[in-house]
Amino acid sequence: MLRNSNKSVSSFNQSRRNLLLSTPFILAATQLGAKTSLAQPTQATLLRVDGDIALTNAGDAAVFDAQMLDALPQISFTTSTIWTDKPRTFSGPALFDVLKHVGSDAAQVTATAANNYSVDIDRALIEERAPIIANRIDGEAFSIRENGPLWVVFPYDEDPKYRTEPIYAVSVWQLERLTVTQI
Amino acid sequence: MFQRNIEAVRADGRAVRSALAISLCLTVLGMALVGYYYTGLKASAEKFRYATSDNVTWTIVQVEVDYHNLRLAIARELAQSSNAAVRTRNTIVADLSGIDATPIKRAFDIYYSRVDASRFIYEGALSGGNGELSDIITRLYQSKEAMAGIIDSWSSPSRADLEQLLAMADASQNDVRQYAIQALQVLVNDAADERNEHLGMLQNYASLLILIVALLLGMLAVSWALQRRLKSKAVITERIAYNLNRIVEASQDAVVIADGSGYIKQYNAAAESIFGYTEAEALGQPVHELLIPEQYQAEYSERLQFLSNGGQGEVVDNGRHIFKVRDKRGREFPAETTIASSKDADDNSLFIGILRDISERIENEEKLHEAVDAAKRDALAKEQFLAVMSHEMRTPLQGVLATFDLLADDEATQDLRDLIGLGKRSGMKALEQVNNTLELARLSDSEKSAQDVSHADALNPQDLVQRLVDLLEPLLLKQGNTISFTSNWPNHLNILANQSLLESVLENLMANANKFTANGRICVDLNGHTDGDDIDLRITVTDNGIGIAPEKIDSIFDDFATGDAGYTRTSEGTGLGLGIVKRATEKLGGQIAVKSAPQKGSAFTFSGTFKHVPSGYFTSAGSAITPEISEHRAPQNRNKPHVLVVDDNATNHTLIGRMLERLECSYDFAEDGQEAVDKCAITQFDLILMDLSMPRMNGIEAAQVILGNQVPQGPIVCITAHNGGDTLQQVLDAGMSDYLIKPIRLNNLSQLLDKTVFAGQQGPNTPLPTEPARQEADLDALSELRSTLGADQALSILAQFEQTTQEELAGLRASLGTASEQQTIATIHSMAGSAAMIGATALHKTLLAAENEPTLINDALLTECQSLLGSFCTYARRHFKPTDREAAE
Repeated sequence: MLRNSNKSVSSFNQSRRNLLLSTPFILAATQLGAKTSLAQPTQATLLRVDGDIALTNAGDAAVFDAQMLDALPQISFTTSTIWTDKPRTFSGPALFDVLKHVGSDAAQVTATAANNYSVDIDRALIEERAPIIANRIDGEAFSIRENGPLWVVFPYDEDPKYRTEPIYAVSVWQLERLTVTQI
Repeated sequence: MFQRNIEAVRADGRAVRSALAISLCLTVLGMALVGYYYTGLKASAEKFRYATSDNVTWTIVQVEVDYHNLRLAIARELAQSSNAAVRTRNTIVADLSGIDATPIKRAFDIYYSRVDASRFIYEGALSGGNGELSDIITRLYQSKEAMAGIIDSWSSPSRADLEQLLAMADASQNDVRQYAIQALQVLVNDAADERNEHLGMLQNYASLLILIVALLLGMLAVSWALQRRLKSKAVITERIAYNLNRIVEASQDAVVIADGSGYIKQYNAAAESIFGYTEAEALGQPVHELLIPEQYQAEYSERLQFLSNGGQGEVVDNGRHIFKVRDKRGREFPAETTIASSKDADDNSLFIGILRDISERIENEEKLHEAVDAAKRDALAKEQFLAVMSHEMRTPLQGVLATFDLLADDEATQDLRDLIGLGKRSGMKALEQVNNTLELARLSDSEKSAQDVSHADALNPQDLVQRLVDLLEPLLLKQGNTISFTSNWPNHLNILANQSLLESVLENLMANANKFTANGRICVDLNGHTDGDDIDLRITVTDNGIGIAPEKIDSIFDDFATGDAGYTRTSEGTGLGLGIVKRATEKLGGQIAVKSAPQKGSAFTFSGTFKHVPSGYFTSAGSAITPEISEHRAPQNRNKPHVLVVDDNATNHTLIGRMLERLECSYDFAEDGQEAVDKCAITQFDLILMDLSMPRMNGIEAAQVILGNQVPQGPIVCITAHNGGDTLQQVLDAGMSDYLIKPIRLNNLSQLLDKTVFAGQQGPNTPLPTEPARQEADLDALSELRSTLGADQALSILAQFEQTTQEELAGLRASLGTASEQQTIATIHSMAGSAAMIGATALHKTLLAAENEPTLINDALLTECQSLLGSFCTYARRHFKPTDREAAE
């Protein structure tokens, strides 16, 4: 109880299924022109995506600065969280879009935080509009001290399914890195 | 039985229903509780599902990790700067500007966010914690803020800055550790509580489920038991139905079961043999078309319709009735039928008919009725024969006795007198026998006795018995007996009873006692015991005479029975006395009992219950024996009434005239109707006595004419020898007030005058008491004639009668075959009237028979009439012969 170790194995089976489904897509993407370069970041890098991805801009990885993240479709919602004292409006690109942006339809994504907290986000949890990688709270960028600058946020108030332990576990603050794994 | 079974099944059904209802309620209740607990459990489970405890735990422990990361980052920077300083000292100028604060700042920022999060968590998830935890968090927060102030003020931190920061961080080391330990402890406790709560809920839920399962099992058991019971009931019901069917099939009576519309549903073997239709032919057919004769079909259908509409007929469920039914061959026969209504399993009407062919029985009954009727007719004929014979015997007997009297009057020798005495006694005995036979016949005649019974007199039994005792005196002396009469009768009470019947009973009992006792005692005891309006009357007549042998006692009340040979020898038993007693007792509604021992005596007890009335309620105790109107009492203080006598017979003129003289009336004669009409036209009469059959104008025509006349007349009273109802009705219809039936007697005439003339000419239209028949005839009539007219007059009238009649008979003989029947009848009628008037009964009857049956009129009849006339006149002359005393006068 003190330490739950099932965070990353919670949906192993789901992952395998997604792998089978996604394999043709990945093959297709690879054949079209693998490792096509993305735009280069002009500011400080906020997020690094590596692993089995199709598009990169920094070696085998794709890195994003604030501008690049802002360039992706933005999603905004207001919700309370178990870590904040009142409902806040979170905004930022959907994780789904970020992964799509790097040409990944990965089975599993491992998210790593500033303190090296690392958790596997099952592909099944990644929907088109949730979670988002929030880079703004109430329209303002937020610092590490306020769990920023990037925070994986679900619209917890919208649906009870977002108010579960596995969802909380993957609501990573101080997000720095996403690693896509093809199992 | 069947009904009871159905009731039981219904009761079981009710039990099943209530058991199911209760179970259903319990189940619903249980399900509701299950639902309630399920909701609770679900909420509890949701709580687990949405619990944040893992995350909170993570956050809590992460504080310590990030704290140590911060310390590590500071320490690492301190170590690097120290190495750089040594290297500088050795090679170049010492410079402290090699310190990179970025990793420290980063580690701090993370720590900073973690402390904030912890504080927030404390306010939420750990609020149940103690004050110490709150203090720790407050201290960590303040320490973090202080460190943030230092770090944020850094531009190029020195070693000293780093050491200061490290010292500040070190100061929090214990708090960080304690926070982790204590916060986790709180979480563990909370979780334990929650788990216990959840466990309790689970336990309740499980218990409830067990309960429901038990309940369902119970229901299953109950329904199983009920089903078994129903099954056994069904077996019993089936057995009953089977037995019923067996009974129906075995029944000797036809059993036909029809539905409410009359269609045959069941039809047994007996029905097959009685009606001739096979079961297959009968089933499904309407009863009325198959078994009811055509003429009754409509009525049957109507009744069925009525019953089907809920009507209550007088046949169904109401005993046995007899109906005409029809068999296959069309034979109609009476069937004794019982119809019961019932219901089938679907509650539809059923009619169960049980029929028995009783044509044979009815035939037998009819035969029996016929036999009984024949026996009754025979008995009646016997009675009538007896009555007639008695009449016919009494008349000559009276003649014989009168002859003996006349003979005794003659100057007879002593021997002859003795012989006459013997003859007379024998004659008297014979007369008594005949009288008794008559009395018996009268009591047996149901019509007459019905009148007797309905007629009740108010009488005092004590007076009655006393009178009978007095009457018995002379006979007692003859037998040398004494009599005593004891009574406890309440003097003020009379009873309502038929006096002549009661007299018959007591007279015979007392006469018997006297007859069968010589030189002995006779006791009469009268006992009365009141009981409300009723009184129990008991009269015992005891003697110490010869008694009755035990083997004879049972038969002494039979007709013509006497005790034994000895009885008849020593007494004058007719054998009819007790027969009369028995019949009269029955008519009175009483009982007669006898106790007797040979040579000791007998005791006869009459008992009966009668209504009692206070004496004086009616005229007097002896009202029924009110003395008859004295023949010789002349009406006093009257104007002499003027009477017209209309009769074509000279004898009648003389007789009636003499009677009217005696009654102080003046009179006039008319020979026929026409003369009467003429006389009435000029004279007013107080009374007109009108014969019916007369020449020129008959009585009825005359009466009508007279009543239509101007001159007011007194009542017209018919005098006739006819007594047929038709004639009398004609008389009354013609306007006549009354009628007298010949022979007319002084007494009757006197009463008639009293009623009509002397009662202010307001004569009632009721028949006067007249001699019902002429059986009294001869002696009475002759005696009256003699007493009315005196011997000489009587003799002269007799002579006149004899002459007239002889002439008429001669005339008839001469005209036999030549005269018209009507003429002959008129002559015979005239003669019959005269004969009746003078008391020549035998002649009267013969003539009357001839008048009614003209074919009888022949030479022989006329000869017989002449002979009868002769013998009558001889007898009458003897009778009228004036006594010495009269002659002397």
